[in-house]
Amino acid sequence: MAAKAPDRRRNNPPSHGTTPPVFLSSASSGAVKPKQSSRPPNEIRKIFLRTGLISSVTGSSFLEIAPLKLSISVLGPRPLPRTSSTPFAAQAILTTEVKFAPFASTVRRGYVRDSSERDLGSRLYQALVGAIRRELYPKSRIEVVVTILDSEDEGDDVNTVYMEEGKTTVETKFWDAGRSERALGVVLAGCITAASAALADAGIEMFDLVSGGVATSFVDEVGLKGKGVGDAVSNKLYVRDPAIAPPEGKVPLATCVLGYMAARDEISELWISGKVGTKNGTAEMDELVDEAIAAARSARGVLNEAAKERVQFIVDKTGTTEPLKEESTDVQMTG
Amino acid sequence: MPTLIRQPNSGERQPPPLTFSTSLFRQISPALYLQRHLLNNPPTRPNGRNPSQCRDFTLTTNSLSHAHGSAVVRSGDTAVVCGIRGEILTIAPGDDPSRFESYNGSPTSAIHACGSRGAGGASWGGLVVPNVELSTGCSKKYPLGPPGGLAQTLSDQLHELVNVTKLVSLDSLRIYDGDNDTTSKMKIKGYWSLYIDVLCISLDGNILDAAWYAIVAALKSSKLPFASWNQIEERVFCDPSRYHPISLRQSLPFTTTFALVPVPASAGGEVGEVALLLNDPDSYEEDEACEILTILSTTDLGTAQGDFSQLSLGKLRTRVEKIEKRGGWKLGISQIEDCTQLAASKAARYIHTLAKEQLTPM
Amino acid sequence: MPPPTPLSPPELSYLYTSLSLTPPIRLDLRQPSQFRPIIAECSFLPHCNGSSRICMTEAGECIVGIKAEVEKDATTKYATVIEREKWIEVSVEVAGGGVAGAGSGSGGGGGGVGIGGISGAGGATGRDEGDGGAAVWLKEGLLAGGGGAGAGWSILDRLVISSGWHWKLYIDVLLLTPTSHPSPLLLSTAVNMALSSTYLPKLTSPHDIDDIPTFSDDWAISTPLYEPTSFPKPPISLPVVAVGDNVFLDPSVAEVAAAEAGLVITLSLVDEEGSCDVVGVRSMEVGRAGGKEGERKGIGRKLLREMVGACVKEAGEVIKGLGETTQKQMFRA
Repeated sequence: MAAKAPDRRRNNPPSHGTTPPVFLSSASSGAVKPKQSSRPPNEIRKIFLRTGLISSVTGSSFLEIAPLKLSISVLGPRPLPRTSSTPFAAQAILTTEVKFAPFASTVRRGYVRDSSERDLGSRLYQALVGAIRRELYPKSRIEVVVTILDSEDEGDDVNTVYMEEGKTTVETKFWDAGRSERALGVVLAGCITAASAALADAGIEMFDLVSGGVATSFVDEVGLKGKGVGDAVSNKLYVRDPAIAPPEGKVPLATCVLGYMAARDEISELWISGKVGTKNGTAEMDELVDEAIAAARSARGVLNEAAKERVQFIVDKTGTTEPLKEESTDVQMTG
Repeated sequence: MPTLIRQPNSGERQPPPLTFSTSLFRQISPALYLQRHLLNNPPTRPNGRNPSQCRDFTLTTNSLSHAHGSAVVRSGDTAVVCGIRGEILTIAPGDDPSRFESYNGSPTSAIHACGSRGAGGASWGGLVVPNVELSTGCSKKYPLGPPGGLAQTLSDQLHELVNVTKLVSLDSLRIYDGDNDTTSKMKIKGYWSLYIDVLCISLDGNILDAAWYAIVAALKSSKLPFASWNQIEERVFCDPSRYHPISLRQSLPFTTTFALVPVPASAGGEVGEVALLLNDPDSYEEDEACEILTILSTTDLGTAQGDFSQLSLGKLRTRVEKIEKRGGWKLGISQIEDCTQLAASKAARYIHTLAKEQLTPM
Repeated sequence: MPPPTPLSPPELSYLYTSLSLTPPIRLDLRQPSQFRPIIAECSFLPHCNGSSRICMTEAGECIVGIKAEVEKDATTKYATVIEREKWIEVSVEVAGGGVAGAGSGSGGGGGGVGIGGISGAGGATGRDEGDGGAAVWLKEGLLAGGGGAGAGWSILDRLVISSGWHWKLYIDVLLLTPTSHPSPLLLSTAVNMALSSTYLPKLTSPHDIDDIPTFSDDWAISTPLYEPTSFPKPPISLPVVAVGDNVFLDPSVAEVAAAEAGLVITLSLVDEEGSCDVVGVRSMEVGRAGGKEGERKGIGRKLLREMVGACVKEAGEVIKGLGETTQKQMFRA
């Protein structure tokens, strides 16, 4: 930890600086391989999505996909501050903030948003901004705040040293390549889905709900080492909503995350990282994108259910159908 | 709402009183609205509770995968998540470990302030670092961005509570030299530093009680990996297969918070105001309160432990450790006594829920 | 926030219309897949391991300097993966500091530099400091690009010196023209060229000892970071926008403001013939200023194919050309 000026707004750690625990494991006991999921590659994990849990904000949602847990609040639309420096805004100004809780990942995060959190925030912005009917809320601001409480990453393995006959070794771990893309991809897809639900809960008008999808392509490890890359590419395995640990004997090639508007069949946000061959034009990328879209469609089903549940709850409580206006159209949009 | 604008005409009759719907009344005159509720017989708060009633709460521990210990506390519409992560502080060769061993004497706020806020406390209190995060969109009122006044005050309060109660015993935080474990005096090579982060997910009053309870529950459920000094590599390594709990003090302290709300009362022909104590205030009540009273107490369940249903208030043995009343209103001794009783019963419920949660297999 | 343009709504509407014609008419009369001319120079800073200067008409001018420093692994004899990723540090700064230095100054533009609105733009609010989004995706492309996942080649492996020691690479991008939304092409071209021209001094001490490594001071025998004759090469990012059914490469600021959809596609050259692999795709924020309400809100799949296809078709030649220029300049010098 670099010696930085202490944050005077928070309680600070001891001035000596602290380091995250590093584990020592004997090579014989070896890396404990994460459990392989029995989930078929074309199935996404179960999503738990609930809206309206926070009473003091306009809209909120809570999403849970296996270890990933995140809470989203939507504040606003509220008027922009009336200062001379505020420019006129004909459309609502959307801001998105994504913050990991300090204890949400293997390496403890700081309190100030780091570059990857800012990056996630701006990609969430990109996914949502087109879907919101911003022209209906002039001179106002809509804030989407995401708090990630828990996420899936490599676990303590990143901080483990394997010892072999008294000397330490560093091997390239099985998740070495593309792991952060998969981890962040699953988080981003979750953020997009949950943020749409929270926006709907806040009653903000949208063109369509955006659902997030993520897919990764894998190739055989053996195929890669033995022959040229070109041969291995032919038998690809696509996994929707991938876990961090790749399937046995497979090596990740590329990950695609997207925000998808099912009713319009349009992609609002696209992020591909990794290697996508171009021997057959864009065919390889198409396959990957199609898989991610399929994942997003599955998530859309959950999103629709959550919206319906919420509407039902409001109808039961107030006996009016007034807030139904927006969500009722969503039900027809089931992709 | 019919609103009529009249010309101020002398000699006219009194204008008819304005009437509002209940929800509007609640918005435009919260103080009066609260008073009217509390003047009912029996006094009822706007949220339907009676003044001494606290909200129901739920506790879930160890639901997070990356924290060494965690707790989620939901009390009414206030929800907090507390996660604890241990990091290792390695003592440099020239350092004197006794700096970390002292409990920092009497943590008056002056010492405390320079200990924690300055260059990072080197005292014992510096090993446990609680922070509260409110910038999570938990409430419309609380702005996003760096911690504001409330978050800073809370972090400070919690830090002081950790120090003053000596909640965490130092034993489980020491890290020894692993290679000479049989020698008479094992050398301390480092310490675990505990980062306690409380995130407020939903804010509806009385966050201190919820946060403190979450901290205690999370600490209670924490497991740290077994760490020792490795001489070959010259750094502290952890054993991925062995974990130990953090040892806490014997009887756990809990806080109970009351809001003092002034209500008009006539005593002996004189019309004045007396303070009514509201247990576990929500944010609407907190906004109107003239003062907040916090009692830190430990409760010994005695023989009744384990069977909550047979617990009666009389059997509880309560020790008050700290009363925080910042001044601003006067309070009778009998009222303080009542509060202590309520605090005792609440602490008993806390302990009971915690014990139940610990027993539940994960 | 889309990049601010001096154009008024009617002007943007006019631009939108002319770009959606078949064939489209661009303001500067370029073909849809035609790039703007650039002036490129590399290895001109004597104190850097690698450097480049790119000057693009309208899009501005940018200098990249790469410094490599010897660093001891943070831990004694090994590096955990997290530590390894810190071996490369990318920072993007704007000269004069008027825009990026003070994040709050660029009303709503966010902190730091946002690339054509990819990052740091709408999402980030003014109080964040730091490098904004540009540095994030430049580094992401660098780590993913070239061999990328699976092929087992990583730029990080090239940075290992000996046991316990590695090079730390500081990539400093300096934008000479004050804009909060520089073209991604400008930055990535500059970084690409600087990386191609980066040479590290040759190690003279043995590989397997823990002592401070020593190096030869003869630059004639220094080793290149990227082998000039083999692959992979440093990646390059191409922006592409769509208006109606038309796809435009290397859009100008005004075109980004009028466009309906935008992508930044990162490519890496894989063989002599100039075919490349896609190593990354990111959405780029565009102005959506000229279109009518309720039209396109995202990218359809057909359009996506067209956009990526156009990039892949043109990119090989561009990267190859750039590589050859770098080579020529390096050996002339």
